[in-house]
Amino acid sequence: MSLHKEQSYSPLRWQRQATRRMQLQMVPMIDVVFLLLIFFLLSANFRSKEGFLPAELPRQIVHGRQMEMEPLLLRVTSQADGGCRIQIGPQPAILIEPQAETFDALSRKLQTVLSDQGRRLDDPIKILPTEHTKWDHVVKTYDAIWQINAHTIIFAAVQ
Amino acid sequence: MIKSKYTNRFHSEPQFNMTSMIDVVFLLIIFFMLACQYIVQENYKLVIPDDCAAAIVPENLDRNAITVSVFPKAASAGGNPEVLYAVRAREYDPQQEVYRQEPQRLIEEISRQIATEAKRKENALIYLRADKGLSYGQVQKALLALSRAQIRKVQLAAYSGNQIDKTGMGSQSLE
Repeated sequence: MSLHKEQSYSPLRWQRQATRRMQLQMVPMIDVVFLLLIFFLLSANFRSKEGFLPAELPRQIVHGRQMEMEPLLLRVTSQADGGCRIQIGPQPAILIEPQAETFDALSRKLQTVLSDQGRRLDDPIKILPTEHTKWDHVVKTYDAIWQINAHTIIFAAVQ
Repeated sequence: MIKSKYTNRFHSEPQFNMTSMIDVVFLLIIFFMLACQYIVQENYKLVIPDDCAAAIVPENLDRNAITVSVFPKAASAGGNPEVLYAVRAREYDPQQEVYRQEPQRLIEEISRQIATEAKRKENALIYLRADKGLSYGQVQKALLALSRAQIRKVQLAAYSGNQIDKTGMGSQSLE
């Protein structure tokens, strides 16, 4: 009987028991993996692909730039109804409806004014918004000018 | 004896095969980790102008680009919302007492931060992301700061098409 007891505590059997206990716990690992997955899904910030309009700023926007040619002034004002009013130089103002998606009317008018005044496309054009003009209207005006390949555009500083 | 053997075989407990599920879960994690482009907290939620036909959509965002963001404060509402400025992930609140007392200090500090970032990265692109609902007077401060930091070339963020088309999951990129 004592011999049998000794056999049951043999080092070989003890080693086998220890090996059996070494198991990979899958449940907590799956917990962690799901936690990570949910974290990544929730923390991911989806952003649609944005476009960019290249712009060039003068060295000192405050004092303006010394120009050889007087820039063509575009006065941009946002209306209370969401529309936009743009005046090219002394010309009568163009009214852009709030529903209008593009400022194509401005591009067409600007081309006519430039050719009438004998201006070249590299001559400066100055956007003069008011302090309360919506940034959306300023960018769309800039886009309309850029579309006719006039790339010397200045943002006027307002007080 | 034979009968009990068969009974054991057919009445064994059903097991959930975890290996294949873990495979799929790991695959998803690896996909998200690789597909993500990490931008250090500078992906502020703002609505940029849309329908700008001349806007160029780059294939990939320049990782070295310095993003200057101008966006409305989440809490503010009404006609002229309060605004926040950010150079990459560093935010500037004009409502802070320091900037209220010295409004010029805000532009100075923003321009200093832009200049520091620009020095760190040679020929870095500058993205100006401004919310379309803000007024020119609010965005102008960022333009002034850029000008003071001796930055000449700026990329104004705008969508080339309608923004409704752009918000569909199909055309989104994960950043």
